[in-house]
Amino acid sequence: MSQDTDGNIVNVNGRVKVINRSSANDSPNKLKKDCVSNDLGINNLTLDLNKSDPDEIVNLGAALSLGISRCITATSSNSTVACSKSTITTTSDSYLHTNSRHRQKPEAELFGLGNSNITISTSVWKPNAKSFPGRVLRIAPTIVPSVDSEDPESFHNLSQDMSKTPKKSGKNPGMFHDKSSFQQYEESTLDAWDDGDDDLLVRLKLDEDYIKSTATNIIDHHSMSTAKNGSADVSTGKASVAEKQGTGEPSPSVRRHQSNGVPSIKRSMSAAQSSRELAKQKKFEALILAPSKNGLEDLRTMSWPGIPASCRPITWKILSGYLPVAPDRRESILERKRKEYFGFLDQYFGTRHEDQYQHIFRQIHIDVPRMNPLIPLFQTKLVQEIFERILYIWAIRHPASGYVQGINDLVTPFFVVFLTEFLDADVECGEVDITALSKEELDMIEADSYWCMSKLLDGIQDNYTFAQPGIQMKVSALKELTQRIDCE
Amino acid sequence: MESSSNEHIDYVFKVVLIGDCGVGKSSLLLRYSDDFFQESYLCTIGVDLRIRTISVDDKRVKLQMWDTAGQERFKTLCGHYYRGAEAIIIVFDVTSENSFSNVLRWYEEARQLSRQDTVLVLLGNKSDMADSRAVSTERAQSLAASLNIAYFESSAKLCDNVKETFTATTRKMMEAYQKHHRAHLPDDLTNSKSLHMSQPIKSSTSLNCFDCSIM
Repeated sequence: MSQDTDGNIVNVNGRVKVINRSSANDSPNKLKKDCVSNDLGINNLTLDLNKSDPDEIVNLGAALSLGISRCITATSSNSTVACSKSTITTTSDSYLHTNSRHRQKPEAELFGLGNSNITISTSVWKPNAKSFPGRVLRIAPTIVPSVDSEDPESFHNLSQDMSKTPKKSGKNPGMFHDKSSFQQYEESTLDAWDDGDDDLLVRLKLDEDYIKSTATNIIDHHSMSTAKNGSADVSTGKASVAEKQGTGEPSPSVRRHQSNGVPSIKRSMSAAQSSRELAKQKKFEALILAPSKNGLEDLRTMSWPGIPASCRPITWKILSGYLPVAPDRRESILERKRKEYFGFLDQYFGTRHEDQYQHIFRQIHIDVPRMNPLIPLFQTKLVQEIFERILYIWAIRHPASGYVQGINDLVTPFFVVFLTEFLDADVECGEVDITALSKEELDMIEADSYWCMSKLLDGIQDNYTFAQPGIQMKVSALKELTQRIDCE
Repeated sequence: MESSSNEHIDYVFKVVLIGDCGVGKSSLLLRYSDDFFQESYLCTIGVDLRIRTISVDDKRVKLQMWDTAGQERFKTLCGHYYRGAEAIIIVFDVTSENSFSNVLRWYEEARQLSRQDTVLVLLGNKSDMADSRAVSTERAQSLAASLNIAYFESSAKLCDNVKETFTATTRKMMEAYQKHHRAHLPDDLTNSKSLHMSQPIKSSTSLNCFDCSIM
């Protein structure tokens, strides 16, 4: 095990890659190259982003998306957003803020976590097990600033706070060169790689949930910061970072370390937040009513952190390509498309019991009642019939794929979102009495759901055609990736 | 999971359930692994996986049970999952003539894609629906006999004969395992042979598993 004091890439037997990015002299390209040239893949990665240029970190994030499994430990005092950026690009199997050592490298050193005071420790590996990677056994009295969820800046400043936390040990942090503090860290953590690895297989779903929740947290946070600094530039996060660097004041931390190890951002709808929401909604409405020059792109960028519920139906229709960006043409197109859909119904729906097509309808007919079995809305005959019609018409018009199980679930989100157009904001959609809606309203929902689902499927049809080449390709890409990462 | 991670395990077996759409493959597994039944259950997209550790003849056996989608279109994908399986259970619905007549196709596919020593089993599900029964036990038995495989009948709904089927299948897998003189597993099993065989599958299919399963 070697430690490169220059803060460059340290390669540990080709297995554990440690990147200590405290020196900003190396170009991201070099890093990228180094990552790529490590054919064996990267298993564990530690990033110290403390002193890096935010632009570089974003680039680095892109480089990292080439393949990191399992663990990213990012310590950063001034670039949380950029760091989040990099982690978003690697969410396939990344566990954020998880400290972990590789199972066969007990001697491998982790940098950037010199003191347990600043250890962010969360894990999803073995929620019930006594040991999991990065579990902190001995926590020095940590000063956790009081939580104030209403301050969006606080998340930014979390790590800053932590690095400013007085060190109880009295040692000079010397973060990356302090051997004893690493030993301290090592002694205070457990390595759970040893047994029951196969159990991970059944925990995939949990892991995915964890990833999703982390991603949601990041995105939420991102949108908050975006709303605050009034910049629509969410694609790079540069604005947030820049603003961030300008402010040095410590502010309370928002992240908590709970006993279950899952980080959470406490959220409550404060007045400030709702006014931000309102401002965001106004911005959406303005853009929808009077699109800018590259209206679609702007709308897409703005939608990335989340669309206000009231604008969601129309935004989805525009982004899916169902509605034009130009507002004046929308009404006529909606009318024409809805008419067209019901024309299809008249033309084709009668064929569902014919020999040639009955197997398609039979499959749809047995699948639709099995959708969302726990949500009452989907157990109503009215809704089930709507789904049957939508799916059957789509299947009959796309003979190369026909109806394939799973397509039904792609209608659901459209249906629900378009349904909300006709509901009060506080109504729980799954419980709604759909018979209260007029036939015209239901028809609109049905036709719009059909067209949007159709647009969505246009882009992924090869997932559903014979032998499912789209899925096969993704599986083989994943296979290649895992082979590079799993050098075992 | 009912077993702790450091528990002693003698065998790890991979079992794959195949058969037409809606015959009750997922329900059988749900009943067996969680002892739960739901009248209308989610349809399986791609594959799903359940694990249960059981004791058979004083041996601890970990069953990895793969649930596959019944729809024709998924056959190419699900075919990958037959490889390395110690047992394949062909499920049909005793109330559906159609699902029974497809058994032969499933059988041929399973034989083609699996190892020679893979245990094949025929299972007629929904035996509780006596009124709408379309396939008699005798017919199913004679088909199984002609294919030289065992036949079981079960009801996932009433939890009838589900456990027995899996136990008997496990016993057959253990016999097949010993018959083919594969090295006996060391006592401190965490790197069992079966586990190793499963490893490539684990990595190549894990995404697929959560991509396609809507559980």
